[in-house]
Amino acid sequence: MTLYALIFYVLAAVLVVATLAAVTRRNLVHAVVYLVISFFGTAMVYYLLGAPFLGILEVIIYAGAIMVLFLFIIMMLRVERKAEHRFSLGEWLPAAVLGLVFLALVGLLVLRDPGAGAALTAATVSPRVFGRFLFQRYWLAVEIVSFLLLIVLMGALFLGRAPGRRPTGGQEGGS
Amino acid sequence: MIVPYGHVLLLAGILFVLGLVCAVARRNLVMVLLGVEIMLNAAGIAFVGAAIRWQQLEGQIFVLFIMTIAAAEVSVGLALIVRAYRRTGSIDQNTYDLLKW
Amino acid sequence: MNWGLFIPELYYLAVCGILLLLSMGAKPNPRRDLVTVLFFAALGVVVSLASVRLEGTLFAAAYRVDLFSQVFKVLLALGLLLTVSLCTELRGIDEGHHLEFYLLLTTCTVAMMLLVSSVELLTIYVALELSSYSLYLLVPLRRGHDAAVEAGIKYLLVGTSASAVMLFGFACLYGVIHTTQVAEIVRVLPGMLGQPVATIGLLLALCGFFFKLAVFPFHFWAPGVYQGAANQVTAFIATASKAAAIAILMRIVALSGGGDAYLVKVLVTLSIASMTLGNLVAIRQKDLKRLLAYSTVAHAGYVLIGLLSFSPSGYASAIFYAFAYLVLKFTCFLVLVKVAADGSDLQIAQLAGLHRRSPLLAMALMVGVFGLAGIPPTVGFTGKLLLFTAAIRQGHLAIVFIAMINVVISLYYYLLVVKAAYLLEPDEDRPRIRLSAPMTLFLWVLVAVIVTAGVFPTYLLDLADAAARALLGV
Repeated sequence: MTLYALIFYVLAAVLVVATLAAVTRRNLVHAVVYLVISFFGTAMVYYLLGAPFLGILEVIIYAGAIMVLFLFIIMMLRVERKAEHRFSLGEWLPAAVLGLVFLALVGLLVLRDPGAGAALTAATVSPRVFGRFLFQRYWLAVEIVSFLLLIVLMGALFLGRAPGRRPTGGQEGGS
Repeated sequence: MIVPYGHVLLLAGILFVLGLVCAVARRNLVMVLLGVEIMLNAAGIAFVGAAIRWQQLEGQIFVLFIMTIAAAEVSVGLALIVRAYRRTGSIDQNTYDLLKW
Repeated sequence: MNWGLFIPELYYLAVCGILLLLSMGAKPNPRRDLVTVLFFAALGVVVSLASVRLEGTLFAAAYRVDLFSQVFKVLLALGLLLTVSLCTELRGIDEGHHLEFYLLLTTCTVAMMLLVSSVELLTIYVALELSSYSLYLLVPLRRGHDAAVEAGIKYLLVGTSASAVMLFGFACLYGVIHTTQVAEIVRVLPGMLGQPVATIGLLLALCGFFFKLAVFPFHFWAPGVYQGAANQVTAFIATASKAAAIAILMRIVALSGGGDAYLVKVLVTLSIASMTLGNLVAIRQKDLKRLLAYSTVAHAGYVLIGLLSFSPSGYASAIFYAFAYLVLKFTCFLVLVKVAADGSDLQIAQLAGLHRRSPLLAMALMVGVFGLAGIPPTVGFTGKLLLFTAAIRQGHLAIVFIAMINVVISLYYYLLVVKAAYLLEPDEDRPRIRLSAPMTLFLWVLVAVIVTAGVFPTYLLDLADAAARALLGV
C-alpha cells in the first residue's frame, strides 16, 4: 500500500462520512457545513488524481461560491425548526433500503468488471496545458456554456425580484 | 500506482447514491437541491478518475463544465425557491400540493 | 472551418442577440414584439430549409452536420414558428416580460439545434442543459397562477436530478471507452456491452433523455408542468422539445448498434409501461392539458417501438412520427389557446358547444385528435403503421399487439374530447369565437397537411429514410 493509496483511502472515508452527515442533518446550516467539508475532501481527491487546477476550482466555485449562496438563502429564509422535526421511518426506510440494494449491486458489478483493476498511475496536469486543450478542442462547449450563464443570469434576476415591483410600462428599463 | 480504478468508481458510486437518497427522500426543497449537488460532485469524481485512468484530459474538462452548470443550477433553483417561499411561507414539499403528481 | 455549415444556428443566435437588446429597451409593445418575432421565426424556417442538404463536421469533430440533423433543425424551426404564431393574445404572460419570453423560446430552439448536431458527449450535455434551463425559466413565467412557480420548482428538481444521473452514466461510459466522441463509442461499445460498467453507463446515460421524452418512469413531471405552465409554453414543450428528445435519443440508442438483447428488453419494457400507463391514466383526466400530457407519455412509448427495432426503417419511421406528432399536437394546442383566450387552464367540459361557437376549431380539434389516435387517413395513422411494420419486420410481435390494444384504449379518451366539442351542450351560452383571416387560413393549412401527409406520405418518407441512413453513417 503506497502512500498515495493510504491518502486516498483516508480521504474517501472523510468524504463518505461527511456526506452521510450532511444528508442526515435536520438543521440546514449544519448540513451545508458538512457538505463544505465534503467538497474540500473532493478537492484533495482531485489534487491526488492529478488535477490541481480542478482542485482549486472546486474550492473556489463549489465550496466557496455555491455553498456560500446556499448559506445566504437559508439564513434569509428563516426556516421553521419544526418543519422537519421528526424523520418518519416510513419516509426514510424505502429510500435507504433501495439505496443500499443499488449500492450493493453496483459495488459487486464494479469490482467484478475486468477493467476495474486498471492501475492509476500518478500524473499531473498543469493549468497551462489544461487551458490550451480546453480552448483548442472544446471551445464550442465554452461558448454554449457562456450563453447558458447569460440566460441563467437574466432568469435568476427576474425570478428573484420581489413581487409588487412589476414593470409598469416605460418605467422599468430592463429585466 | 495510486489505487485501482474500480475503487475510485466505487467511491463515486457511494457518493452518488447518498446524493440520490437525499434528493428523493428529503421533504425540504433546499435539501433536495443539496442532494443534486452531491450527485453532480460524485459524477465529477468519476470523471477525474476516468481521466487519469486513460491519461487523458477530456474527463477533467468535463468536470470544469459540470461545476459551471452546477453553479447555474443553484442560482435558478434558489431563485425559484425564494419566490415560492415569498408566496407560501414555507419550503416544505408538503405545502406544494396544487398540482397532483 | 466552414462557417457556412453553421448558418441556422448563427442566424438564431443573432436573433437571440437582437431580442436581448430589444428587451432592454423602453416601452413594452406586445403587438410590435409579436410581429418582429414572427418575422424572425418565419425567416428562420426559410434559412433552415435552405441548409437541409449541408454536410460536414465542425469544431474538432464535436459537431456533425448531416441530413439527420438538418431535418430535425427544420422541425425545430417549424416548432418555434408555430408556437410564436399562438402568441397573438399572450394573456398568460406579463406584458413587460414578453420579450424575455420570446428570447427564452429562441434560446431553447438554438440549444436544441445544437443538440441534434452534437456528436460528442460534452457538447451533448452542455446543449441539453442550455435547452433545459431555458425551459426551467419559461415555466414559472405565468401571470396570476401560483401553480406555475410550483410547477417550475418540480420541473427543475426532477430535471436536474435526471441530468445528474445521465452525467454519471457518461462518466461510466468514458471510464470504459477512452473517448467522448460518439462515433468512436459506436464503434467500440457493442463489443464491450458484456462488461457491467459499460451497460450501467449506457442505461444511466439514457435516463436523461428518457426524462426529456417523458418515458415511464421519468414522466412524473409532465402532467404537473403541462398544467402549471402557460398554454404557449406547454405547446412548445409538447412539440419542439419532444422532437429534439426523439432526435438525441435516436443518436444515443444507435450507439449500441442493436446487438444487445438486454438493451432491447429494457426498451420493450419501458415502451409497454409508457404506452399503457399513459393511456390508462389519461382516461381519468378532466383538464385538457393534463390529458395531452399523458397522451405525450403514451406517444413516447410508441416512438420507442420504432427505436427498439434498431433498423434503418425503424429509425425512419421514428423520424416520420416526430414530424406527424409535432403537427398533430400543435393543432390540439392551437384549439386550446383559441378557446381559452385568457390564458387559463381549459377543462374538457369547457369545450362543450364548440361546434356552434366555431365550427372550424371543432373540426381542427377533431382532425388533430383523430390523428393522435391513429385513425386513417390522417398522418398519425400512417406514422403508427410505419412504426409497427418496422417492429414486426424485426420479429417483435408481442409489443406490436400490445401497442394496438393501447391504440384502442386511447381512442376512448380522444373520443371523449371530440364528444365534448360536438355533442355536449354548455350550461350557459358562450359567445362565438372569432378567428382572424390569417388564423382561419392557418387552420385550413394544418388540417390539409394532416390529411395529405397521411394519404401521400412518399416524399416525407423518402426524406426520413435518407435521414435515418445519414444517422447510421451508411
